[in-house]
Amino acid sequence: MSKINKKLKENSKNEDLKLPLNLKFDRHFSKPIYRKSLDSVVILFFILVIIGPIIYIYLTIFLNLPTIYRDVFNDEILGDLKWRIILEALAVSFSIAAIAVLIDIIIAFPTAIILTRYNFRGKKILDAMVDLPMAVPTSALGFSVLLYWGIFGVNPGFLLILLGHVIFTFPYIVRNMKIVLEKTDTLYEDAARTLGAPGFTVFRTITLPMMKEGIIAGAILAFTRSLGETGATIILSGLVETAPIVIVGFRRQLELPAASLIAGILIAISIILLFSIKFFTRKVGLPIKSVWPGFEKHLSHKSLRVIRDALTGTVLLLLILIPSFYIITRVIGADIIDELFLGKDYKWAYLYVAFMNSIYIAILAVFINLLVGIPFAFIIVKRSWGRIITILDTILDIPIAIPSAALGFAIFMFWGPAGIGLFQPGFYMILFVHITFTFPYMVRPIIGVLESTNVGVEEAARTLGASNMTVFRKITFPSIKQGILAGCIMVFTRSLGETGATIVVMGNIRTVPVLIVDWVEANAFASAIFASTVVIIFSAFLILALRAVRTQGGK
Amino acid sequence: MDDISLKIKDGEYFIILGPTGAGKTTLLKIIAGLIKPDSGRIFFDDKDVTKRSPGKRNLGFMFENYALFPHMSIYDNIAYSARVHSRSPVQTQIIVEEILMMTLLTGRNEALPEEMSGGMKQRVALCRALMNLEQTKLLILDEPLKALDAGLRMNLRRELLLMAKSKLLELTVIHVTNEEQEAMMVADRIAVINNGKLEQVGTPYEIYYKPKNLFVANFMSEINYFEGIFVKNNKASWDINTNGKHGDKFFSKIKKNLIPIPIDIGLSEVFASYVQKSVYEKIQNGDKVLLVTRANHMKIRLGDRTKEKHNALHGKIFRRKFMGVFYRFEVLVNINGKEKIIIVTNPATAEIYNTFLENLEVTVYFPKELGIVFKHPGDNVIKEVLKLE
Repeated sequence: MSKINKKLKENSKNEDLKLPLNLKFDRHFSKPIYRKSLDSVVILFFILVIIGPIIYIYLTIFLNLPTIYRDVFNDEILGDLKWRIILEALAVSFSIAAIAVLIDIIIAFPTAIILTRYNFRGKKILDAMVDLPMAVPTSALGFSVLLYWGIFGVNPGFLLILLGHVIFTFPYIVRNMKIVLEKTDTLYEDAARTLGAPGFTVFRTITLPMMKEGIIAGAILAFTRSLGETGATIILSGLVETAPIVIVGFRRQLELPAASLIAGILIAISIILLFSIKFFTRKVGLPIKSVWPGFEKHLSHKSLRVIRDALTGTVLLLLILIPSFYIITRVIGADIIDELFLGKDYKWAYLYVAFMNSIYIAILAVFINLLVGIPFAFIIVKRSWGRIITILDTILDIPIAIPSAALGFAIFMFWGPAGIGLFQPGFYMILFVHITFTFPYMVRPIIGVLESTNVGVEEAARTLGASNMTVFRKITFPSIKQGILAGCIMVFTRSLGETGATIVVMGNIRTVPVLIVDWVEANAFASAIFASTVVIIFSAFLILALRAVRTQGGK
Repeated sequence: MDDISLKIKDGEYFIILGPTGAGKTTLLKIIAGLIKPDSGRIFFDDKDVTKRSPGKRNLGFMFENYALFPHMSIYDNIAYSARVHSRSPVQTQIIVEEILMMTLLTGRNEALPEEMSGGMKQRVALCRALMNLEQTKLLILDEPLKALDAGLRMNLRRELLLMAKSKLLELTVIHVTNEEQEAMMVADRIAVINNGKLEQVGTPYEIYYKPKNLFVANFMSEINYFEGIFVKNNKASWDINTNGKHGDKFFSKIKKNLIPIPIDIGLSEVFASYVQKSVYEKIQNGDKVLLVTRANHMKIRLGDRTKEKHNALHGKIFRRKFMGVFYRFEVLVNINGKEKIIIVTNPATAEIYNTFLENLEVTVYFPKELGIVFKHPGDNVIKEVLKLE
């Protein structure tokens, strides 16, 4: 017996030795110690990079309260002028965000319904066009809006900022509505129809209440995006100042205490908004009990529906789609060759360098977020740490919600000369800021696919003797590839398009969106038109790639 | 959906029976106006309603999985139709309260659908559908019992039937299901649907004893089939016209409109079975036919009794399974050199338990009145219908 046992043992040892090299590696790295250390590194990164700067900015505000008070509220010469500037900027930012979101919602309702419930030719193209403003650098978009409304004599100022903000926040609202509409079963609408409800009543009492959460989530996202937008706003603002622009201004004049204060206020408001999503969606009620049959029957009439669709199409075209792409038509008439290529200041060289900077930063941000994002998504989905996961999950969205200029400023304070002193404004600091605010865009899609993958398949592989690492390599990774790819493209486009966070930390380095702002301010319109057109076309390709990935994932 | 024509009478409990994906729900949605048919028309009481919107058809539609509005309380769900039609609020309240009391849901007015059990949801969905009925008392039920567990399902079948047949409501019900048991229990008439085609319409009795094709026969219960040849001139070895031992009322009812014929399935003795007139007219001497019997119509005896029994096959018990109500035997027989498994189900009795053991030699047979004959539909159809590999 003992002989047989011995032989068996030897055999199993031999089998272990016979394993191919990659499987041996897998076995080795499947030990719990590696998983635990990876988890700790990722969590540490997350805390340092995302939470650290935010906590630090409140710390500086708290520690420097006397300075801030003297500087902002009680200056020897200016008195409380800076505080009044801050208040007015906040008021402007909030009214613009609120009005823009309201206009968006009104246009987005019929748009989302048309895009989900109707079938027509060119639906896919329209869908992509509606999504596009999300991917295009806002400064290019803002410049296009400036030129478009310039035809109608709208000058930079409050109205023009509003018109710009309506455009780039629109996709966020339409997309959220579309997602909910696609998810809600038409079964409920069918049920209401058989019970005798006319079309409009079905929409108000059934569809709308079920879309509620999606609408509010989209609205809050759009609201915070509008609140934090810098690139387009600088171009469209004229003399009006919004909160992020005040941050940029204070930062340029090195008024750090005042900048900290307004950044802190903006961050606080955004975080409160983020946390209130759940509260609001539950509390907000809609009048679903009362019904006005006669009135609503009229509203449900076919002719009214046709008018609604036509009106939506027109508004969509004139207010959102044409302004976004108007700039492309201006390439032809512009004096590009003279100004950009033959000018004595070598603008083309600046554009080339800025373009390469943008690409390098975007690629590096994708790469680093990939390294940290995948294990982080795993932690959120697979670890059973109870409340810690809920907290991590909520904190994860903070970089999306807070204005990027404020976040950039917080990072500048934390890592820059005024704080730890690890980085100087410049390439690496821009990279660092971009890594921070794009992190959730990488992690969210991965979490999405991870949650929807079939755990049974992984378990099956494990019962067949595969080590954890092999399961990841052979089973899990292939099934979440789509999500990872989608995350990469999102991070890339967001990094490519960012202005506010870059301006605050850029030093002498320029990226394309910032360069466009510079050139518009310097009245080098032809060069700005060329640069904008290039990035718009580039982004269009990226969005098309993203859609290709998504539809493949759908299959 | 292909060329389906159905007439449903007032007060009838009509079952649409078919496997998943047969097009049953599509048919219901066309009746309710939720899907526009490419061609064809729908009449309610001789009035063409094909172009009428679903809201104006005033029928009660109970959806699969109920489709209770998740954001409304059960009271609001039930009252929805009345509100949409702006009926008097006071009256509505009285009716809804009464309905809630009748269905034992009093005190749960404000509960949301997600807080309720499957059975309660089913009742709420039914009430909501009933609230929409006006002159046309047509109730449409799309797999109403699917999501419930077995015990509850039995009870609710009975309740549905009682409600539909009650003098107070006088409902016409169209009920879709994929369970033949459910269909048999509640139906006045059954329409069997497969692949968007109407296979047969008839009473449960007709569907069971006189199925029009192999699909219908197989859908109602487990069957055995024999491929054979219709041999008009070759006399069956036993007198085909005698009533035999079983010449009682039951068989004479089955035999109405049937014609006895001999069928050669490749055994030394020629089989005999009754065939429907319509089938008889189509077949000629020497044609291939399909002889089908239900497993529960087969009888089983010990030893080789082929000499004394008609329509008999000799073989041995290959497998025996206890199924609770009955025993299920797989008997291995030899037809013309080919081995074949015959399924026999017999009520579970002590005698069967003691006598019929595995590997014993037995004879299985069936009375000619319980044979069903089809024109041979081709090997592919047999494979497809019986899901043979």
